Amino acid sequence: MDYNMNLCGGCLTCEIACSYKHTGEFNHLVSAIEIIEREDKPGYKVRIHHDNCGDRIVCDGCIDIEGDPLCVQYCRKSDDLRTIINAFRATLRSQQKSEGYENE
Amino acid sequence: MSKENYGFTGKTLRINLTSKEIKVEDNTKYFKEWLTSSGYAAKIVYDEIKEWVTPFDPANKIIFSAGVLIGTVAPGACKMNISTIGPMTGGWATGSSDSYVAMELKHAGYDAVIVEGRSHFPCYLWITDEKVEIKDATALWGKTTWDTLDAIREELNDNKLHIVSIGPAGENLVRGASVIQDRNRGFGRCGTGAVMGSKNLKALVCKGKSPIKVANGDKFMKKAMELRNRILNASNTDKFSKYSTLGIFQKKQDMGAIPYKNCQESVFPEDTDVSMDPAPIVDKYTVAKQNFPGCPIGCGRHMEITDGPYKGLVTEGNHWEPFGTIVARCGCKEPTFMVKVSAYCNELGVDFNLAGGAIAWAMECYQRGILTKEDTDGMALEWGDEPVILEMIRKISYREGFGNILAEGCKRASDIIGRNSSYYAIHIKGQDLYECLRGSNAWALGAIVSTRGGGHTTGTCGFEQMLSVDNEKAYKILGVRNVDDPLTYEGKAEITYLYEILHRINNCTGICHQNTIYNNLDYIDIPDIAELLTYATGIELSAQDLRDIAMRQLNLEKAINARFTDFSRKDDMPTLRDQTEPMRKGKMDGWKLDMDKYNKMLDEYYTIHDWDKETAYPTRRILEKYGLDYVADELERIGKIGKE
Repeated sequence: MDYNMNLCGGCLTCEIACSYKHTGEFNHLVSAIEIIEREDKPGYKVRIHHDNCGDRIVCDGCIDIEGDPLCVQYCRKSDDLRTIINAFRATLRSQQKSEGYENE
Repeated sequence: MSKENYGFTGKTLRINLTSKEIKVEDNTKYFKEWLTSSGYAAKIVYDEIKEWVTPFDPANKIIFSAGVLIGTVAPGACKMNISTIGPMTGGWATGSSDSYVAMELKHAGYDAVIVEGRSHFPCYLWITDEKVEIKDATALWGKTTWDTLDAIREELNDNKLHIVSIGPAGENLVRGASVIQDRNRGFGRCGTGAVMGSKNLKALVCKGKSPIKVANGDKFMKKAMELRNRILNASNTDKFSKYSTLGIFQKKQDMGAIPYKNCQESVFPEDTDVSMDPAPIVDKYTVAKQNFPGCPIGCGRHMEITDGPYKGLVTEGNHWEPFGTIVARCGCKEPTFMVKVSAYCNELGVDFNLAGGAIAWAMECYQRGILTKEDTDGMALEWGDEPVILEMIRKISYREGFGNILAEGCKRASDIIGRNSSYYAIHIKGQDLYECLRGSNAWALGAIVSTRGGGHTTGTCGFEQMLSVDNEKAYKILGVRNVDDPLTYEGKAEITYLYEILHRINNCTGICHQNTIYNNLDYIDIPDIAELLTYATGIELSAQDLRDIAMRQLNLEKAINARFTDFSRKDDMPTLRDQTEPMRKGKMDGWKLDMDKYNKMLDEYYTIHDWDKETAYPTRRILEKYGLDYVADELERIGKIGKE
């Protein structure tokens, strides 16, 4: 899932933090969050890997953490990324809910 | 078998471009005395480059290095270093830049790459965690750095790759050729790009998935977050984030720290000081941000110029250096020229300071009739003529016509031209200098004594020019008074010593100066870095250990210069203009450097370092204190040991 984030400066610190949260090591290329250069103009987009994608971690929204996940904590514009992550978390929760319903 | 390293990889890649031999070496043994990156590089340069080697000799070596904190969430840990024997001064040369490449180098599995020899064909290095390749760059030779990035991304089929490369200036051995990270971040000083060019090395490309481990993750993360929050909550962070170094314009104007028309005047003229303020330019044309790994400040901006002579230009370019050293120094009146000239220098891979220094010297010579159109390929070198400045930058980069002389830098250009033109060459140790050395004494001393030649990033006190320093707070943190008074000479030697330490530790670890107390007293200090390093590596390091490591490195840099140059006290003096002329115009009009007091300040500086006051050479006593007995032996042998 790709999200526009106009104020992202592409520092990748969210990627670095994400990899640490899930692996205990710093390795931004395996993180569940990915920052992508826009092709149409200067700036960046945020990609959340929610399906299996090579070596990358699948984003679980860090729903085990009550407050901000580590990627948000290490974002310079955390308000914007929080909105994106919360939207993703909401999608995740509703998916889990519907899957749970179907299983019943 | 070596034990596992934390923070740093413990591995160095050594590539000989002549024999094409590629080796991996263990660098663990260097860490406790030299840390990583520039400290490690200084040790390699000292140990391995013989006294007969000149900068463009295949026997010279160039070291690309990433500090121990690179790749982690440590605030501002994004600076890569390139070190060598450089063509500007002939001695110790090192430059750093914001970089993604440093992080990728560590994920490829290496802290450093030592490049030796000279390739028989243009090449670039493709370094991953799976393989290392010397690739043919024949098709890239001649391309700008921007086109090189596009071509390498296309060739390797990965549009997320980051590279450091040289442009035409590096290929043509322009002494002040820079190395450019992707499009707009430069390893600007010292001519490291020309050394790459001399080796037929066009670029370095890295990528990998080797993880970077830290020894004590919980404590490391807690400390990193504490520092991040401290930076985010500090006063002035938002302003610095928005305008970067350009935010200091009004203070520089108030202090007379504008190198207007080659430092003939100390401020922009009264009728232009509002129109020249670059902050509104940033506000008006910013289209996106640009930040680098770990940085909580985020001071880069992409701009799209939508009107005026440079309409249509889209680039990153909101930093003081091109504004101060080219726009101001060449007497320009169009503020968006800073964006244009920044982009143009970066595309061609030439240092702003070499371009601005040499062109402004030529313009002043033209103003005074020392140079005429007969010397300048028929061009009138009038102040502020932007098309002429751009054309001269092109000629410099291709060593074409009069540009071939300016490509040597203002010092050598004045030696070639003669005609008493050397007075107007604003340089320290042969390296072009944008700094004003009048009106800010700690800044001046730090820039003048720099071992790599003039510049403010290896020992200057950045906030001395802020005019709003909390003196008590500064005393509490630095232990030095007078930081708030740029015109006094007392305490400035000590401040310089402190910032020589900070800057070296920053470069060794990868932390950007702007995240530290260089920029803001609330930011990262040496004890904070010691904590981060201890948690990252599992090796106990105190603040005093770091101070010793930095001073060991500085003494080694002095020894490298002793081996390759004739630098002594005479080269730690301000430029002739700064020694003889008062400041002109603005609030500081008439203030003049007192050379007796300057010399006393310099004596004090040497005494603090335990260097010989007459010659500026290190004494055996100080070298032995840092375990550099072998350096003392060499300096004694070549007659350059300081008297105790």
